[in-house]
Amino acid sequence: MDRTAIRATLPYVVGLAVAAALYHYARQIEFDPRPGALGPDFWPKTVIVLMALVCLFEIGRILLGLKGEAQGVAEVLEGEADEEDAPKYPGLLAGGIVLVIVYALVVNTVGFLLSTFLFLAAFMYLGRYRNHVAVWATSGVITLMSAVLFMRIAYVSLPRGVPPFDLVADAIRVLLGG
Amino acid sequence: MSQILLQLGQGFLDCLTPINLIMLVVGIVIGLLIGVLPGLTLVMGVALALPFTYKMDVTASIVLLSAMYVSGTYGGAFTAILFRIPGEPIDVPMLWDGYTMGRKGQPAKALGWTLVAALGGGLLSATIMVMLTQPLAHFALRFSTPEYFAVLMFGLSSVVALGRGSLGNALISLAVGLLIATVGTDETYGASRFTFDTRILADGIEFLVVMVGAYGVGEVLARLETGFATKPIQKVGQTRTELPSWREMSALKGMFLRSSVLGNIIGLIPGAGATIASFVSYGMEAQFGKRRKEMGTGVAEGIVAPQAAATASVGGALVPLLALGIPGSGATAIILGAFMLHGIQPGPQVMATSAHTVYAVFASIYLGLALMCVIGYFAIRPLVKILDMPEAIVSAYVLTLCFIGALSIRNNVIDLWLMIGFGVVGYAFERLKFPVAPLVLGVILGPLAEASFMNTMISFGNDWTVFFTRPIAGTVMVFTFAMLALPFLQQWRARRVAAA
Amino acid sequence: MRSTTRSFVAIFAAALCAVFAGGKATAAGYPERPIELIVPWGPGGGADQLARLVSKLMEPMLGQGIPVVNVPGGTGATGMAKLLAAPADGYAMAIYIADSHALLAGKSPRWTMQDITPVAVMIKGPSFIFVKQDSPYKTWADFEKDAKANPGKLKVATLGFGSVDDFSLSVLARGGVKVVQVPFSKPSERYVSILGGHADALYEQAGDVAQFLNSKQMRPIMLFGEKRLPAFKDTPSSHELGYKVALPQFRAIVMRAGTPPDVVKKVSDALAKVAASPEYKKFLEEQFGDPASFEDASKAPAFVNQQLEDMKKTVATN
Repeated sequence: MDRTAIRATLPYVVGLAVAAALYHYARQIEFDPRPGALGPDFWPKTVIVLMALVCLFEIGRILLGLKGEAQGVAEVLEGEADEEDAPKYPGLLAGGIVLVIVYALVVNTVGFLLSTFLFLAAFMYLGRYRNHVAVWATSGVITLMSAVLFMRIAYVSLPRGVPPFDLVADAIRVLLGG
Repeated sequence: MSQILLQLGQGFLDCLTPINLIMLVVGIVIGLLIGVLPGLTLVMGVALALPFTYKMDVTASIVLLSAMYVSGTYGGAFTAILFRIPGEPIDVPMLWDGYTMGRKGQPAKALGWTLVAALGGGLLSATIMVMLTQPLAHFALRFSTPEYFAVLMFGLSSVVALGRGSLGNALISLAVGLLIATVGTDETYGASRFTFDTRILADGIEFLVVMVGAYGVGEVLARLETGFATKPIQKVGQTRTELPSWREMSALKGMFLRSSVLGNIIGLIPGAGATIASFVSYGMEAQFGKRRKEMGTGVAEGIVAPQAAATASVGGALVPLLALGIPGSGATAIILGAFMLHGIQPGPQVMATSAHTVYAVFASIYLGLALMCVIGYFAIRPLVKILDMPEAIVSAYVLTLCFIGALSIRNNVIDLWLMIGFGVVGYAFERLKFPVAPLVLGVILGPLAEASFMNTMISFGNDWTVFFTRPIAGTVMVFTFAMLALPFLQQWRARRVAAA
Repeated sequence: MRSTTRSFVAIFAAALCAVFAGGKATAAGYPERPIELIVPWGPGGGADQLARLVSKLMEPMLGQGIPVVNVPGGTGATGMAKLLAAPADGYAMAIYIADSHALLAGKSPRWTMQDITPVAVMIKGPSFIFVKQDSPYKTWADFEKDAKANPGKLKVATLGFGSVDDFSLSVLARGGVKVVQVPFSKPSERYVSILGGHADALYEQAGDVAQFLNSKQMRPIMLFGEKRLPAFKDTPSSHELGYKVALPQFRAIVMRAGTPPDVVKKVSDALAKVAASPEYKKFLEEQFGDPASFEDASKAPAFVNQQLEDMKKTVATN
């Protein structure tokens, strides 16, 4: 048994474990049973069993070294044609995820407009764009456009922020012609 | 027949008043924008526009809303083809051939095909709608829960069979999507499922969060990892063609007709009309089309089939609304609301009492389609130019739109968290070669499929054979199994060729 | 043309006022910024229509925009969660209907009457059993006879298990009318099931199927209530048929508990004016609502509490 085969089974083993855990929780769904009718646990259980069966099948297929896995239509026709050789920057990826998470953390406190403005600029720098004027100008324009579109034209309730940050939102709204 | 034409002519005249024309243009532009913005769905957009119609007269307001509905099925193709981010669920099939054609250096051509498809599908479907309103409405009534379930299974199996990657992975992806859809309070019993006693999950997970997360955020993250070094579309030699030639189009007239009729019929059925229409039409083409072997390699058929069917489904969805007063989709439910706010109750009597308004709406669909294509045509060039902008800017903007979408669904920052989570899931799926489309479609169609399944079981005393013995449901189920068997047949055929 | 320009101006003016948002919730200056009207249901339904009409009519009275925000999910629970998360300053209110209220009669409800202040009851109306126009059941007696002869065969389309519909049908079942309850959470599918002949009867409020009644596609065979309605003189009530159940549908407007009483009063007064307007009266008539539906802030809480007691009683005797 070579290690690549075991590694290839890993996603399916995880899938099987998830299925087992979910089945456990599906058995605990509380409801008032009605005679002669399927409960709300029937559908999720069926899907979980399907998922577990496919995982088992795939694990078995890989471990037994069977060829001929059925492919989706598009795959059979096109085959592999990806640019796997492109250089990867895991640091950038991690940075992007952190930025997005920070945004979600602060948006309720700082308010939508200010946090979006800062996020836009930060993301552009992270994306290795270094034209400072363009970065701040486009960030500002995009933020203002969103403000006009979603606060004035069509009403979408976006976080205002808590004091003192909500002053920014108010100031921008005044700036827009208040 | 001449009666209908006469009334339709009157409808065109009614549409040509300045106010109605303005509403038509406004509706089309907003509809296109909503289609383009990944965070805003068609239904949300139409709902946001409804307050503007309070003070208009009834014809103007319905013209505005239906123009938005029509063009909203078209705008999302732009982002799908240019950035690999579907603006609406209906644009997911556009990633297979549309984006591929764009990546082969012909983004403008791919957009030209979507335009022709939307126009052709829309016009054909509008004509069917006007001529056959009553018979179609009665046909729609023959569909009950077993039929809904069969159609939904067909939609789900088509996405499993059609994607890239292994069939097993696609099935697992679909199962994950279906399970995500079960989170929250269930529709039938009101039981809490997989909520782990949290208030957040008790309210379920919105499909928009999953779609925008997995496609929008996931795609941007994947590209950020490459340092934005590779352009999403390498422009291999600037092609100048935009619209397909007449010869190219007439070669596809059979499939235009097929996709449009299919879209129209699926639009009649309550539920996720345009989305299923788009997937099923692509599936039919991949299975029965003349160039089925080349589907997925960026051929025109793979663009025309989903787009024509999606736009055609609008005509279908308006039939039960106008003729029976039954809204089949979220967007038509809001249009019904607009009618009611103006004191008109759609239904069989509306053709007699408010024929004027109804035919003005019909006419506005024709005019709207024509105008939409003119606007779309002029939008193609500037939009393709966006690809020349620094990708850091475009991606930052796309992410902002995703955030707005997540925040506006339930006005809750939790949705933002979920969206980010699904962005990471989408990225992981891509890396592990699990297709994302089945997951997204599972989340969208899962609740509908479960509800129709549970309903059928309750209604027919747990007799599952009804799915096969009722004529319409049985026919669709046969197609479903054929669809799932397709990959195996292809494999078998490939092996036989290899052996020979 | 002009009316549209005016509407755009009005909307921009409303947005302009939003600029000076903030400040404290005192009734003197209330409202100083737009008031969100939460609809815990999707757009297009009965609750949504009521909200949009109220928003349209009340905006000029209060001089502020009243944006309608649809927050669907969990039989109204999701929208209620949003209301309860907002400060109790009168800048958020929600449509509250009998079906959400019924959740309070179930196990571990997610809010209680202590969390909300009913501002006004806007519409009340009984529910009916409808059949297709050409149904073989001419009267309730036909339906009852067939249901008793074939228990568990006839299908009645309802909103869902544990709903008001379910409570009412359980009373019929105790009287020997045992039917299969087919739950459709989507109204469109519920109506197709009747018009297409896939179910035998439908549990619904008259206003929601008005278009089918006017076009003679459906007809009522019984109403759930104590007395007959003038609009349906020939339809017997459940009480006269011997089924002691009367759970009307109602749609109210609620705010968070703890909202300053003068703010509640101000909104309640504005809603009273809305209810007295000809446009609202026409709406009420089209919805087949009780002409005396409106209850202001002084009477609404008692009414809503009474409804809960009635529901609990119906469930308890189950």
